[in-house]
Amino acid sequence: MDFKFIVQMIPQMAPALENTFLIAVVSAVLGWILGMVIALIRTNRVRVLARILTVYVSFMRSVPLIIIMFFTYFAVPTLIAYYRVEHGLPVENIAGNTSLVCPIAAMTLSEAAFSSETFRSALSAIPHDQMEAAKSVGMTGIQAYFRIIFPQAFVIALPNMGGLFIGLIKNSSLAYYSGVVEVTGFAYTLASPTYQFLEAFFVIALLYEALSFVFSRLFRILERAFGRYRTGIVLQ
Amino acid sequence: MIKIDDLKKSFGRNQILKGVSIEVEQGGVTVIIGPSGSGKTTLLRCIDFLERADSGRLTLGDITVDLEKCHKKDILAIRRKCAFVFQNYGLFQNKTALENVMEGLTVVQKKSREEARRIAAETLDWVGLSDRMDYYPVNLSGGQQQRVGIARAVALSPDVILFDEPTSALDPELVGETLELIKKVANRGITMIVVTHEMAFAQDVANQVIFMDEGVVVEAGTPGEVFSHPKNERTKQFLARIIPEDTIYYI
Ligand SMILES: Nc1ncnc2c1ncn2[C@@H]1O[C@H](COP(=O)(O)OP(=O)(O)OP(=O)(O)O)[C@@H](O)[C@H]1O
Ligand SMILES: [Mg+2]
Repeated sequence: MDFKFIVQMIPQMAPALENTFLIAVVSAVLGWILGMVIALIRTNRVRVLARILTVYVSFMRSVPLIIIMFFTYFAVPTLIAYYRVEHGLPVENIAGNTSLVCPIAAMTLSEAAFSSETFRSALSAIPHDQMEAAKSVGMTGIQAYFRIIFPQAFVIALPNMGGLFIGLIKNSSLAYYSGVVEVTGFAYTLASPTYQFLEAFFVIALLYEALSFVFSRLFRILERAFGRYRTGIVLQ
Repeated sequence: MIKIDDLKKSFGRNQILKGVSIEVEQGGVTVIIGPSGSGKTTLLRCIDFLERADSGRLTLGDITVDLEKCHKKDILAIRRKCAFVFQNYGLFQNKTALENVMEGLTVVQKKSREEARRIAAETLDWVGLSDRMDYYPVNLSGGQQQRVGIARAVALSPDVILFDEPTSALDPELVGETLELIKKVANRGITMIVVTHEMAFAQDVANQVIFMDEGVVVEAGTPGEVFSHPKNERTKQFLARIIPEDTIYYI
């Protein structure tokens, strides 16, 4: 092992790490909001829409993420280019766009599907009497969801959300294929000229491990903070 | 005053309520008795729109609605005039006792937090829980939880409180004190409809007793009329089964 290489590599990683974070955090926030909406529509059996979303979820869960990324990176820009040229559609040409937009779009779409299952099971774990009690004091459905149902479902979903978030950090490495230099792409690029892949991948493997450790800790802390009512520690 | 007229409700092909009409006077306590499965819970739930009746009319104070085709706005208006005390307490699990009582006051009645807190604390004190205000439901005994449930209902100052077997999930030694509390609520002059199997309580507190069987009101009257001089054969049989011979005339 070339420790000098490792020591030089670490300080250069900051921009790549930032990309990794940006992709994971933005896809998490957007994907979870969409996932929650999907879960609500499906649990409330909004007829046609619920059916369509069932198909969407099962599709997204069975197709490899890399294919969805190729779709947002290659197929969508090609379609846009086609309509621009053929039909004069006033949209920007995004072919060859190496910003974070394409990987984030792909991961958001996939995350929406995966997280919707987590949220759906969390929602269905809330006893029916909670909604009825909320209605009985005169709350509207929306008030009941935001004051009573969501806070409880959130606590139930948190451990899974932690797992999903760590998954996003790992999956963000696929963004390399759409030209984004995040942690994995950085290591690959840096190691290529001298073939020091062992060192480079060793470092980022440790990095992923550390991130995973930190975030699972963080989610456990959140779970304890928001779930106080379940263990019944008295507030004084 | 609350008046229900010809209320009908089916679940699938089973008609559970076959045209129920009852009337409860302002400040009165109506106790509904009847065998299991006769539709008592369903009736209460239809009044609070936790279950949607198929047809009938409901009058509550100055609102009258056709149960078959009434709008969200009417449903909300009726619900805000009613409070419900559940058999299994139905407390908000993510809220402390105090927050459980405050919730409707702030979110629904739009009272300030300070005012809601004051009302909630007073009401919890009134039900004897001043030392448990910051406890979550998981840390309260069944009896304490039901006290919070009753406080939550009373604090809303509703036109009517609906009680669905409020003591039947409780340990026997807690039943008495909870019934005492419900009696205290009655003494405040709040209109109440109580479904219960506690006949002594009905005798003591009710000014109207309704006997239901198989989805209809079989008999209604004062406790004296229904318990001591039941007219209907079904009422007689039910009472004979549920009340030991020698106690019925003494209570
Ligand atoms: N959601 C539902 N779906 C289908 N059937 C129901 C539903 N709720 C109640 N029922 C049926 O309606 C009938 C009346 O039930 P209800 O709970 O009103 O009886 P009850 O008089 O309150 O009985 P108990 O004294 O045992 O509480 C029962 O036969 C029950 O099986
Ligand atoms: Mg019942």
